[in-house]
Formats: sequence, C-alpha cells, structure tokens
Amino acid sequence: MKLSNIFKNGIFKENPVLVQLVGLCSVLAVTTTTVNGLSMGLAVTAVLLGSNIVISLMRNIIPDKIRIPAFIVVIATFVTLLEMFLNAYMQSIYNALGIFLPLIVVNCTILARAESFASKNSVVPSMVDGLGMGLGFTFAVTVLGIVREVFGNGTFLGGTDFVINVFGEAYPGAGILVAPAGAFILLGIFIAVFNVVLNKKKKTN
Amino acid sequence: MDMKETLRLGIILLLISAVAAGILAFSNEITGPIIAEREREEAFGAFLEIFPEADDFVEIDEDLLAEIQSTNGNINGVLEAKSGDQTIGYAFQVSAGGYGGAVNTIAGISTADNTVAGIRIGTHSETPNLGDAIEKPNFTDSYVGKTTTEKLVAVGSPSAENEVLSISGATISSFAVLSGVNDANDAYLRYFTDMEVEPIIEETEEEKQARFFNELFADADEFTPVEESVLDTIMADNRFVQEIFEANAGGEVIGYVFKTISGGYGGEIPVMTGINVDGTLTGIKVGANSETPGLGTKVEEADFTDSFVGKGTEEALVPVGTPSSDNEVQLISGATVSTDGVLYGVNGAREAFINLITQ
Repeated sequence: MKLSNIFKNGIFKENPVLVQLVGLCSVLAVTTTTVNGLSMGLAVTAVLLGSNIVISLMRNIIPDKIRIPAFIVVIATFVTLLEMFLNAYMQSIYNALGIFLPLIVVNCTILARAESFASKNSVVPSMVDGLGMGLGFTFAVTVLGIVREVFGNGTFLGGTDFVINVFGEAYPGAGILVAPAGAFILLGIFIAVFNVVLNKKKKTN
Repeated sequence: MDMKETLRLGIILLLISAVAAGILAFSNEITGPIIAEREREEAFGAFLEIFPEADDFVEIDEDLLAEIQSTNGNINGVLEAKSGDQTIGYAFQVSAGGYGGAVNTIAGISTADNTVAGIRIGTHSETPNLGDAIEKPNFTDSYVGKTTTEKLVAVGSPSAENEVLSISGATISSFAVLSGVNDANDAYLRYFTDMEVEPIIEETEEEKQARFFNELFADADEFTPVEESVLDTIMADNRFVQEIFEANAGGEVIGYVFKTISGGYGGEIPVMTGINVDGTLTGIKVGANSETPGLGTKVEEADFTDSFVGKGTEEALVPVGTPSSDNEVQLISGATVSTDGVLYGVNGAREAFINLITQ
C-alpha cells in the first residue's frame, strides 16, 4: 500500500473514532473543551507513533503467544514516559488531561493498530499508520471539543490566555452538550454526517 | 505447550519488561527532581500565606522531630521559616480529632515576639456549610497575634490575647483547631525557646501513658513489649487486645500490662490492665474516650477503677452494686454500657493473660 494511502486511511476511511468506533469513553470525557480535545489527540498521536514504531521493529522478536502482554508493556511504557514529560515540562496540559492520561494505555485505538498493522508491517508504513490514525483521532476529538465548548459553554479556547466569549459573557450555555449524554448524541450525529460524506466521495471516485 | 516453550516465552517477556523498566527509570531520573521541586513549591502555598516574608521553609532535624512527637503525637511536622539566613518563625503541622475526623492545621509561630503568626486549615472532613467555617478568614484571623505562652481558649467574642474564636454551631470543629494550635504552642515553648514558662499542655497523651504504666506497676523499672509472634498468637483469638508489655523489676518479669480497645457508649474505650504474674490485677487505667461527660466518663474515676485492684483472673469479672468476691467489680448505675465497655476490655486482658502464661 502506498504511504499516502496509509496516511489518508487513518484520517478518513478508517478513522478510529468516526468509522471504527474505538476508544469512545475517553472521547466523551475529554472533549469538554477545544484545548482538552486537542491535547488528548496529540497525546494519543505521540503514543501511537512511538508504540507503532517500536512494535514494528520488534515484530519478529515478539512470539505470537505473548504478543498482547508485550504490546501492553510497550504502550504503557510510552504513556508513562509521556506522563513524566508532561508533568515536568507542561504542567497545565498534564492537569487538564488528569486521569485520562494514564488511561491512554487502554485506549483501544492503540492496541488495535499494534495488533492489526504494526505487528505485520515494516517500520516506515507503521509510522505513517500511527501518524494517520493519531491525526484522525485528533481531528474527531478536536471538532467535538470545539462544538461542545462553543455551544455548550459559549467560549472558544477556554483555559488558555486566548479565550474568546463567542456569544458574549451572558450566554447561559446548552448544558446538555457539556454532559456526557449530550456528547454521545453529538458523536452519533458527527459519525452519521462523516460517513455520508465519505460514501458520497466513494461514489464519485 | 511444553515446559521449554513456556520458559522461553516467559524469559522473552521478562526481557521486554526489563528494558521498558530501565527506560522508565532513566526518564524518572531526569523528570523526577523537576516534579518534586514543583510540588514542594505548591505545598509552600499555605506556609507563605502565614509567613509572607519568608523565602524558604526547611524541615527541622529528624531526631528533633522524633523527640517532639514522642511528647506529642499530634504534631506531624515542623518547618523553620527562613528569610535569608534568619529564622523568622516555625510552622507546625498538627492534627486533632474534629467532628467528622481528623482536622489538619498549620500553626505558624513568629519567633520575633513569640506570638501566633497565623493559621491555615488543611484537609478535614468537617460538615460542609457548618464545620467547614473554620476555613474562613474570620475564624483563622482570630488567631493572629495571639500569645503562645498561655493556653488559648475559644470564646464567642475573643478579645484578650489568649482568646480565639469559637464558631457557634461548629464548636467541635473549632475546638479541633484550638487543640492543634495549643499543641503547637506547647511544643514551641518546650523545644524552640529558652523561656522559663510552664508548658501550657499540663500533660500530653504520651506523658499520660507513661504515668499509667508507672501507676500500674510502681516497682517496675522497665516495660518491654512481648515478642511479635506471641502477640500475634494471642490476638488471633482475642478481639480486644492490641498490645502486651512485660513489667520488669531488676531483670525479672513481675507482671504484664495489656492494652485493649473495646466499644462503649460513645465510641471506643482504650483500657490498660495490669496483671501480676500470680494472676491478681494491679489495677486498670481508662484512656481517652467519648463517653457521656459526667456519666459514662465515671469509668475513668478512682471509685470505679480502684474496685479492680487485687481482683483475680480465675473467673470473668462482673460489675455489681456492692463488690465483694474475687471477681466482682463496681457497677456504675446509669452508665451500664460504658461499664460493660470497659469490662469487655479487662476480661479480654484476663483471657490474654491466661493464654499467655499457658504458652
């Protein structure tokens, strides 16, 4: 498969959140604001990139029977490294992600890519797949974060120095969007729209 | 799958994990100190509010802290507030029992004039919107500038230099803070000043315990805990016994002290029971409890505890109106539950004694 196809695959045809529907609980929880969503997306991409590369490099060393525990050790190591790094150098992001940072270990996206791609392909394609899937995840959670924050809270880029009150300070906010239930409904709508657009493009190709 | 295969898989997994652990350890070496330093600065937040002119807070010498804690177990930590090279005060981290649990307080004492520099309330489980009013400035400010050389008292409208605020409707919470600050002031006087003042805490819990030991066995020169294995064996069958000490006189065991905890009316009652090697009781001591003041607390008084002296261990002890025989002790009318609570403990000590000497 061409590298560019692998990359586009992660963002469109097999988007982990919008098409594969994996790793959804952390999606609901961290998309409360734009910055939270974006940070989570980039964190997942970083871990995905690292774990895909390492697992691909080790794919001939890891015996098939213990591949799952081995993958988990690799993924957990990368998540812990990220945790230490963020806690020491980017404390605001560390605090924003909170418990969801260590939970990246059990984000199904990462384990799924390790099992279905990295363990079966060489390093460069695995790297591109990691990048593509990670950015696809980031795209989905950032858009969700923007919608939930702008319409649910009335702000954009809240939590940073660049926060804007989109509808003015008196905007009461649509509480439903801030709650996980609303996020779930919003996600459903997003998935539907995304897939309709994808299918249309498939037909015209 | 055969043994060799299992072993091979296990070793490979071990190697992968070992490499991962090594990488993580290396990363921790680098990031650990940075994180620790930042957390330390965050913790200084409350201390800086009490001592705004300080630029550093240094923990006191370990041995000194241990000595302080042996006099008063409520003191969790002591830090020196420094401005440049000068010590401007001390911050005591103390805790005391409140309404919902332990109340942690930081009491800052200014060395310039030996007054309270300020207090801050730490973690606690006091009632929201009621007991947690102790966090508010109007409460904590009432401590600023107060004396450390006299015991502080909490009143509705504090004015004198030894009076602080008691919040109506939250007296237990207010007293928890008061008790902690008095403990801090007491420790400050004893260990950090040369002043010739009477300690403001007449007798700390630790001093009381030491006194109890000596009152139970006046002839003893040493009290040593029994071996752990012996204690474990006895505790396996005994719900009440927590600790057992041998009372020694001139190298010989003359008796035992049993520390028990049993349930009374208002909560747990700690009891110390002294039993001679010949099976007679030397007496009992009732420790800090939550029994009804003036009623259940009569179990602490001599009228009750003296009735245990010289009693035997052959039969279980029972409370009666007019005790005479070897297993009868004084009943306190109107406080039967408290009396029974103490007796569970003493009888528990009795059973432990019998168990102990037959080993």
